[in-house]
Amino acid sequence: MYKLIQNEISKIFLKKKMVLIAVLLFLFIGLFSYGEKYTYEKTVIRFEEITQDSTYDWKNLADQQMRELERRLDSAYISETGIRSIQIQIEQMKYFIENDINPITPSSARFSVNFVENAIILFIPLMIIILASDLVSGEFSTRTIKLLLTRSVARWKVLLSKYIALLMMTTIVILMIGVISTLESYMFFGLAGFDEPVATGFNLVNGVLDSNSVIMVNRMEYMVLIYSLAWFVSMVIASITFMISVLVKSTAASIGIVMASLIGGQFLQFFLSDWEIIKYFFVSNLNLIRYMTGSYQFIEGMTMKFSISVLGVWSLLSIVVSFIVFSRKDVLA
Amino acid sequence: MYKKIKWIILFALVGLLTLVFIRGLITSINISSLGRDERSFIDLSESESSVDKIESYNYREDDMFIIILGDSIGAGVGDDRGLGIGKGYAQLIENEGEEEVEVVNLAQPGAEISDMMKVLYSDEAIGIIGDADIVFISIGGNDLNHLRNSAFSVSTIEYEEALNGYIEDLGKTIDLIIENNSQTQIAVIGFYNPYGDEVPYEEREAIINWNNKTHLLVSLKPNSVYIPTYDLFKYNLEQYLYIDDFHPNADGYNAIVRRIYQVLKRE
Repeated sequence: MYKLIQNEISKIFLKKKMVLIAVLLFLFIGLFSYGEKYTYEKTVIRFEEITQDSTYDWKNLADQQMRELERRLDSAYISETGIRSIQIQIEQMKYFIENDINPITPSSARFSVNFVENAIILFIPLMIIILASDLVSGEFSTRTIKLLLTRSVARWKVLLSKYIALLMMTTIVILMIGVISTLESYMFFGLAGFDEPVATGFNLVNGVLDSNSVIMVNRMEYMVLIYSLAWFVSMVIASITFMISVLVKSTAASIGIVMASLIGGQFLQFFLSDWEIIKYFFVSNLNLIRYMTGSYQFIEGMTMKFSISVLGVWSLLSIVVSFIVFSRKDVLA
Repeated sequence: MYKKIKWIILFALVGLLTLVFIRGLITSINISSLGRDERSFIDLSESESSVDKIESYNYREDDMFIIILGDSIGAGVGDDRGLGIGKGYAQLIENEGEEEVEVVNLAQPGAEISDMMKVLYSDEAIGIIGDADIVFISIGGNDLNHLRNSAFSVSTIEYEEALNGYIEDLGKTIDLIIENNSQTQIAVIGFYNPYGDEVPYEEREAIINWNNKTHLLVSLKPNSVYIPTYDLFKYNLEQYLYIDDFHPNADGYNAIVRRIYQVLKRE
């Protein structure tokens, strides 16, 4: 079994897929971090124009924001939870000002998290598709499947070794995203910011932001949490793509099917958010990170546990279907 | 030998990462479901801190007493001096003569009219309404903004429904205040358009139409007056808006307060 897995991993390396993914990541992350630097510089220029100030000082702006928050605490009818949320924001601001950390200038740790937050619904799945789409169907197109199956190994073992190799490489891809995005954006921003505090654990109840459960973690811990979610999502995408790659014989078709469902699924969320059944489609549940940040949800009543269960069921079904289909498949190639 | 080490490193790395990620995943699930069970919908009238706030005000018979109800503009968001409409008006009165002014601000940033009514219907709020000489109301901006994504136009049914509901609720609010205090003056602050001419014609029409309906309702109620702000801000957006390009800044609040000062009657 160990040998089989080694063999499959070697095949992925031989096809230069990891290199392709690394190059793509390098290019896009470079583009994004340059873009962020550019927007930030424009904001500074705009701020200077508005305030008629010759020099831009983030501390002034941060200080003003903090006093604004403190004043809001005096308002009589802010609810208990509102007070907590504001206190956390003030605490955050105070920490920034006291420790001379600039909350407005982009840092590489923040970029790295933001990148995953935005990439989790499409970009990261696409990277995984590159890995997974031709894993089985590729063997059919190149007719190497015969050679693989004529060896004295059970079919399910062959498939399992492919699946394990895929999951391992997916894990490596997530690591690559973390390393490349942190290092490359550091080159642009020159600011690491791993020890900044981050507020997380917001909840949406009946469409209202609830901050009862907000806790403070540092940026490094937060990064691990966010990457864990991205890892889980990638595992699910890998499993589903794996199934498609078993079901169809052409690699192009398997890429097409997964991409179409990813992109189509995003549309469905927008346009048919009233339709209950959309909740159970895997694409609607991909954005796990929004449960951490409390951002807007298209469909009401979805929670982290719900989404993770839905994704778990999808990947389990995918694996079961893959193994049943593969062990019964006629190989005529 | 090198090859063997390479494989060992790879497997060890993946194993380690998997452990880290699984831990992270479990932690994330725990964080995102913290307190989900014991929490119920936030009931404003039961919030203890606000009750304390109301009980702590010291009302004296001779003082002028102002209550502010409503949203972030009522609360004074954007005013660097920390005054807002209520305290800004109080300062104007105090500078003029010997009268002392007490202000209680019951406005909450982000409130829609339903939130404001929840505040108003609490026993504590009704208790102090009876003492008020002036009630400022700034509400509806969030109700209107709610429509911004889909139906920000006079011709849509959603807008029509939202506006009718709003007018009905505002009418009830004013009636309730007068029922508890027939001597008080009520000033309802109208909307300005923070977006300027950037927004399409229909959106500006939607804001003005909302203002007109509010004007009609408020002006026909006893003891109530509508304070227009649309014209104040029309040519002064740059000067009157806070950095967030939405709330008034200190100058903006000053302009509103001066207008209120011209309108309200004083003994």
